[in-house]
Formats: sequence, C-alpha cells, structure tokens
Amino acid sequence: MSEIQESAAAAAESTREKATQTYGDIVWGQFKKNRVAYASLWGLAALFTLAIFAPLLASSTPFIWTDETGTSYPWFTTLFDTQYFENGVDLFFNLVMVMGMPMLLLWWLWMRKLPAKMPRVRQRRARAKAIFSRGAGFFLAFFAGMVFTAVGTGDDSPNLLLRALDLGKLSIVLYVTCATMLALKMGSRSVLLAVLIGYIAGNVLHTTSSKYTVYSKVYWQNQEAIAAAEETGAEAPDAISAVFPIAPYSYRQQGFKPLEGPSGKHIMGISTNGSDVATRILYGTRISLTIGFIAVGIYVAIGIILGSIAGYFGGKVDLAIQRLIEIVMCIPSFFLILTVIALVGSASIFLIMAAIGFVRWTGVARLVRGEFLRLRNQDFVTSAQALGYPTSRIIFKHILPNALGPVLVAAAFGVASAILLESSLSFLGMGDASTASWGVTLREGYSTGAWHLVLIPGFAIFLTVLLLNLAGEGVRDAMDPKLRK
Amino acid sequence: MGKYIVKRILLMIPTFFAISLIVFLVMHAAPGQPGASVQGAGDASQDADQGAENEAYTLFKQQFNLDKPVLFNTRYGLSDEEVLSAIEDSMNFGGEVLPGRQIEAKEQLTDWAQYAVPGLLKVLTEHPDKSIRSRASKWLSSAAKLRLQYAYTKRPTKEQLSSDSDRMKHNLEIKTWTFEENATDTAEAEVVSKWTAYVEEDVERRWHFTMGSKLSTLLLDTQFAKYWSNILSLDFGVSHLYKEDVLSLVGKKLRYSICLSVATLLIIYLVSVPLGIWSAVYRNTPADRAVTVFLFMLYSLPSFWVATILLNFLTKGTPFEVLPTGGFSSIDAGNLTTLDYLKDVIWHITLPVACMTYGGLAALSRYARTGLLDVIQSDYVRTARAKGLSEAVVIIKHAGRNGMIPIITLMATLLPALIGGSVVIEFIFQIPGIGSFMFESIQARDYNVVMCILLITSLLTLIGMLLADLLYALVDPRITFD
Repeated sequence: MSEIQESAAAAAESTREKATQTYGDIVWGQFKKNRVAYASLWGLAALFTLAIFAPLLASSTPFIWTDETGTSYPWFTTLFDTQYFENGVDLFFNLVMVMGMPMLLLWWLWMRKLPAKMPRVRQRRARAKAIFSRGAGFFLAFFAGMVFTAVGTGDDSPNLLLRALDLGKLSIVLYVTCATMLALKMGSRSVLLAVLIGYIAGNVLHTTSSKYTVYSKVYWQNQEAIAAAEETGAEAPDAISAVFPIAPYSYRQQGFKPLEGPSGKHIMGISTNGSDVATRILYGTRISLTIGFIAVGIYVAIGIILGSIAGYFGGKVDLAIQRLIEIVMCIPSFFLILTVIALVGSASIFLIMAAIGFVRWTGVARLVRGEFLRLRNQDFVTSAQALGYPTSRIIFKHILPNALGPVLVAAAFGVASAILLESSLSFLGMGDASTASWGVTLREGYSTGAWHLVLIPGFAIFLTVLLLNLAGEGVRDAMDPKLRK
Repeated sequence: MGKYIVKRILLMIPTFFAISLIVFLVMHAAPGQPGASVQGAGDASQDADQGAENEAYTLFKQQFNLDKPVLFNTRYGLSDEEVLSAIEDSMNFGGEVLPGRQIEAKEQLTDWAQYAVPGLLKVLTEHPDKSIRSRASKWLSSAAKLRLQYAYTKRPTKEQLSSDSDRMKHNLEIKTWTFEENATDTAEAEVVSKWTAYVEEDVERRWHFTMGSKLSTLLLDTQFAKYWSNILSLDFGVSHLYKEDVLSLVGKKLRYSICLSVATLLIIYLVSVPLGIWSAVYRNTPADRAVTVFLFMLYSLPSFWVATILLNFLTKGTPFEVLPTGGFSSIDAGNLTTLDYLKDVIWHITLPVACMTYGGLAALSRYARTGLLDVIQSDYVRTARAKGLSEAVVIIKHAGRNGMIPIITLMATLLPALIGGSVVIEFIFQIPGIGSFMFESIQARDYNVVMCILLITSLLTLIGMLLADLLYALVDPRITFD
C-alpha cells in the first residue's frame, strides 16, 4: 500500500518537475541523451581549457628562476607583457586564465544570494552549481596539475607545496585555495581526484625527466649569453634551479634544427623556421577558436538584427532587406573575403574575423526572418503588443528567444566553417603570418613535404571542426520534436 | 511561368547593378591607388612631384579613368579658393606644407583637369604673386587640354582619327601659352589675354553648368559610370599581368574550372543518391549508422589537408608515384590524339576531383537520406506496397521520385559554389582554372581581372539561383509561380 502511495507521489513529483521544465531543459535533456554529441561538447570544453591554459603548458619563461642574483618569477610577469605576447588574442586568453577562477567564485557567491523559494531560482542554482563544480574542476585540475608537474621538472625541486608558499606569489596560492575550497564545498570528488592524478603524474614525470633540466638553458634572458658561450666553448651560464612548463618554448622562438621530426624533446617536431610545433599547435587553438567564435558572433549579431527587422515589420522594409540579402549572397564569399584581405594588405586576424563576419551573415538573417514571420502573428506577440510594450522589447524579449534555436545550430556549423576558412586563408598565405595559426603550419608542410607538418596541424583542424559539427548536429537533433526520445 | 521568368530576369538587372556597386566600392575602399603596382606607374606617381609636365602618368590615369571620382562627381562646383589653395600647397607657397599634402595637391590639380579651368584663370588674372600666376598658366595649359576620344579604340575610323588629330593640334597650341616666373610683363600680358579670350569663347559650352549637365556630371563622369558603360559593351579592360583582354582570359580559365566542377558534380550525384536511398531503406541499422558517422567525418575533413596528404603520398616518392603532381594535362598534350588526351586529362584531374567531391558527397547523401525518409512513410507509398509492388519499384519509382526533389534543386546552387570554392584545390594542384587565376590576380593586384571574376561568378550564382527555382517548379507539379 505504502509502496503504491510512494510511487504515486514520485509520479506526481515527476509531473510537477516536468511542468516546470522549460524548453531549454527539454532540449538539454535530449542533447545529453545523444552520447556522441555530449562527448564532443566535452571535447570542445577541453579545447577551450587548452587554449586558456596554454602558457601553463608551454612557455619559454620559467615559473621560478634562481641564479646567483636571487630568485625571480618571470612567467607571471610575461603573461601581460606585450613584448612577449604580441597578439591581443593571447593577452585576452591570459586574462581569462588569471581572472577565471575569481570570476567563477564571485558568480557562484552571487547565485547563492538569490532567494531559494522560487523553483526557477532553485533550478538555476542547481545548474550553476553543476557548471561551477565542473568549471572549478577544469581550472583546478589544470592549474594545479600543471604547476605540480612543472615543479617536478626543476633541478633539485623540494616539496612542491613548500616551493609554492616560498614563492610568495599570492596569485597561485589564492588560486589553488579558492579552487580547493569550492571543490570541497561542491563535494566534487572527481575534482580532487583530478588534482591527485595531476600531482602523481607530475612526480612520475619528475623522476623520469632529468632531461628537462637541459631546457633551463634556453631561458630567454640568458639566450645571448649562451650563444656567446657556445661560440667560445666556455661553460654556458646556468641557473641554480629553474622550474619550466612542460614545453619550455614559445611559439615564436626559433633556433631549433628546422624540419626535425618528432622526438622526446619536441613531441611534434620542429617547423621550417625552427620553432617547436607542439607549442605552435597549442597556441593555434587560441587563434582558431577566437576566429571561429568572434567571426560567427559578428555575423550572428548582424543576421539577427536585420532578420528580425525584416521579419517583424514586413512590407517594404522586408523587401529591401531581402534584396540586400540576395545581393550579398550572390557574391562568392570566399572570393570576396580573399579580395578584402588582399587589398587591405596587412592581414591581421581581427581583419579576417571582420571580413568573415561582414560577408557571411545572410544565412542567419534568412533563418531569423523566417522564424519571425512564423512567430509574429502568434497570440503571445499580439498580447505583448496589446500591453503596449515597446517594439524593441517585443522583438528582443518576446520573439527572439523563441527564434534562437535554429540560429544556435547554424552558429555551431558556422564556427566550424569559419575555422576552416581561416585555415585555408592561412594555407594560401593570406592569413596572419605572425600568429601560430594551424593553417600557417600546414602551409609549411605543403611547401616542404615534411609529414609531421602536414599531419599534425591538419588533424587539429579536422578534430576541432568535427567536434563543432557533431555538437551542432546534436543540438539540431535535440530540438527536433520528431526525434524526441 | 513565362511571366515569372521574365519578372525574375528583370529583377536580376538591379541586383547585378547593386552587386557591381558593392564590388566596385570594396575595390576602391582599399588603400593605395588601383594600378599603382603596374610597371612604371609606380615611378610615375612619384614623378607627379615634378608638376604639371608629367604626361605619362596623367595619360595612364586617364586611360583607366582613375582621374575621376569613384561614385559622385561634384567638381562642377569647384570653388576658386580650392583651386588657389591647391596651387599654393603644390608649390609649398607658405613654406609649411607637409610633403604628403604637396603631392596630394598636385594629384588634385591633375585630376580636376578642365573643371579647374575657371578657377585657374581667376588665379592667373587676379593673384598678386607672380610665381603663382606663372604656375597657374602652366596648370592651365595642361588642364584645358581636350581628351583624345579614340586613342584606345581598337580600329578607329577616319573621321575619328581626324577629330583626334584636331584635338591634338589644339592641345599642342595651348601648351605654349605659359610664362616663367622671370618673364617680362608684356609676355605675361600676352599669355593672359590669350587665356581670357580662350575661356570666354568656350565658357558657355564647357564651363557653364546647367541643372541637367550638373546631374549628368555628378552621376556619369565617374569611375563607376565609365566602368559600367564598358561592361555594357562587354569590355572588362585589360589584364596588367597578361596584357590581354580580361574577358577572353577569364573565359579560357573558366573552361578548366567548369570541367572540374561538372565532373565533380556528376560523381557527387552518381554516388550520393544511391547511397542516400540505401541508408534511408536500411535506416537505423548498424550499417546505416556506420555510414552516417563515416560521412560525417568526411564532411569535417578539410579539403586542403586531404589534398596536401594525397599530393605528398600519392604523387611523390617511389612506391606511390602513381599520379601527376599537378596541372590539367601533360605538357606535351598537344601532340596526343583525342582519346589519349582525354585519358591524360582524366589522369590529371583524378586527385583534384576526388578532393572536391567528398565533402559535397557527404552533405548531399545526407540530404538524399532525409528527403527519402520524409516520403517513405507517406500514404501513397503504403498504397504502392499494398498493391503488391516489389520493394525496389516502391522505393525507386514511387518514393524516390518525390524524395529526390530537394537534392535535384541543390544542383543549381552547387555549381557556382564549386566554381568559386575551388581556389585552394586549384592552387594545390596547379590547375589553371578560375580559382587559381583569381588568387594570382589578387596577389598581383590585377584589379580588372579581380572585378571581372567577382562579377562573372556573381552572375553565375544569380543564374544558378533562378535555375534552382525553375527546376523546383519543373520537378514538383505542386509548385506554381502564377
């Protein structure tokens, strides 16, 4: 009897839960059921993490450097050094890396303050908690794990924790403490596990990695001295101890033997002009993701604005915007982008983003227009109009959220094709040669025929594009009511 | 239907006009003068420093209409002050003019040409400084020149030649009407009186602007208007790189690209339609899923990567030296018989076509699959089965015909996309098609070619879109345009 009652209560609970489910919840639930798409979303998150934390993995400046004059911490000072990281994209990602953890903490504290009575708020808090614990997990696992690993590569590194405290650098301590605190609060055991694994891996690496100490010699401040010493045959000046990232190179640093294949020191080999390919690929993640997302951001914004105006107002406005769409659509976009970039002369990645953004908006505009035409005569719009809301509010708060689904799918595929476009531009030599773009490396592979320069960057592009396409496909399937499970 | 087609074609004209406007503006918004990289012209633009005497550069600019404003010509309203300040700046009169402004002022005076004549005359007669008056007389003798109208006509008639030689005489005559800074007052007075009489004689005809002539100057005496009038006579100009007529060059290159695209399209349809039907019939079986995943991965493979890999591993190195590294045919293809030539071409375009095919194939077979899935559950298919028809007949004859409508109409939009999208493939395999031609011309800043290719590919897309709509109505009787 009681069992029946219980199950009835459970059923009632589940219906109530269903009643409070928003459309987003349903789609998300469907999306999660698609294992491939869900996994590729995680893959994308991993790519972003790699992009954000690239300097932790690869940088030619050591975290800690001790020589006769004392101890210094060059890694921290170079993070925002425009001489070292010339590119705005790198500076942005470095900022995200440093500020990410405190921002997450603030956000979570803010979410906690919201009143818990409303079911919506409770749900959001639960979701925030989930996102947060995972985010904290990523940040912590990466940062802590990598620093531990790196410390393991020092000359005579004592216990890491002591070293970290000895640093006196508040940032690291703060960072790790925040993350640990939050992870504990969240009860996210997986996070702690990740840290533990990172620590063990670091120590294992340490015991096997006496060869890493060699790299302390390439520390940028001493490079000239080393070169001079090598010429005269004298002993090269060396640090007493230094702690480097796993790959102690920068993507612009040259001077290794050109076109050398993969080896223990350089796991992906050396490029034509003698820089470490692994580092270039790692930093290339930043370029590709930035280009993809910002270019698509620009054209989604243009498309949404023009499409919603056309769809909402109809009539002559619609006709004019439709003509504009048709005109821009007819010009082959690759040719146009190529022309714009070539004529401006110096192709910076910001120019490439802008060119893609201002040429490719037509698809999104047509999608949004169609959705607006469908939605604008529905009852909720009529009632909003009857309530006397301003037009902008009706467009952006009432109709647009309902029209965003297809745009999201188009955007996911769009990011993939923008990344492809940028790499083909770089491949043709029309890209930003000062960046570590994957297309630039692939071009070197094309012109030299070195297989590691062909396979590795191409695979990186392929993987990113594939993950984006799979995720986009997943969102599309999740929104299709016919495929609902 | 006929009415609809006519309407659409008429609508294409303003659309094409707007496209050409956008393309034109893009080309002219770019920093640097068009044609600046032409051999000799770069030096000429530096020589423009030397003043009004630089004829070669002026002629070059006139030939390509570069002396005209891009979109709107408002030079009929040129004020005397503007002319005066341009002269002063070009001579560095105040002594504080930046070098950049000096060159700019000279360019301005050259470009204004006859629109500056009234202003120049005013300077000549009224300015207190003699050096400026002398300079004004020199500018006048170049600005008041009459343009040779038929200098660039391929085969001018006798009347045209004689009219041009009259103009030449006139130009030579006024060329002498100048005086130096240290000339005597009488010499100056003589020149001034000549100029005053000259301008007064022609003022009604050449320098008095009515509303109508203002409007026509505003819109028609511009680079854009001249370019359009050339386009209408199918004259896209001359390629700086090849010194050949652009249109015939583009036509030549287009042949290769169309050949590649048609081969690609053929293979795409031959493979993707059966594949789509197959995977719709065996939907949700493990085999279908495997094919879907495989096609999806194909779709995500960057074609330039695949092309580079194929190039490195199938054409170089001893074990795999099977296929040629590039080009459309062998160098000695001229001596081959037709059949051998065909074989040679096929042998050459295997790799590029393969690289262009697989992406579209993956996308199209997905379309074919969903197209068939949409109809396979409809009532008439069930009826066909109930009649006892064999499964093959049901799928191919009944469902297939309707299910393939969307992908047939895709053909019209795919063709221009293939022509436009093959830049990288043509670059890698060194095929002399439109894509690599475009790339080469962009790098050489061969403006006429770039504009011509952009316009022609846009036109192809426009036609393709029209064909897509018509094809839609043709294969689907439910759609009418009336």
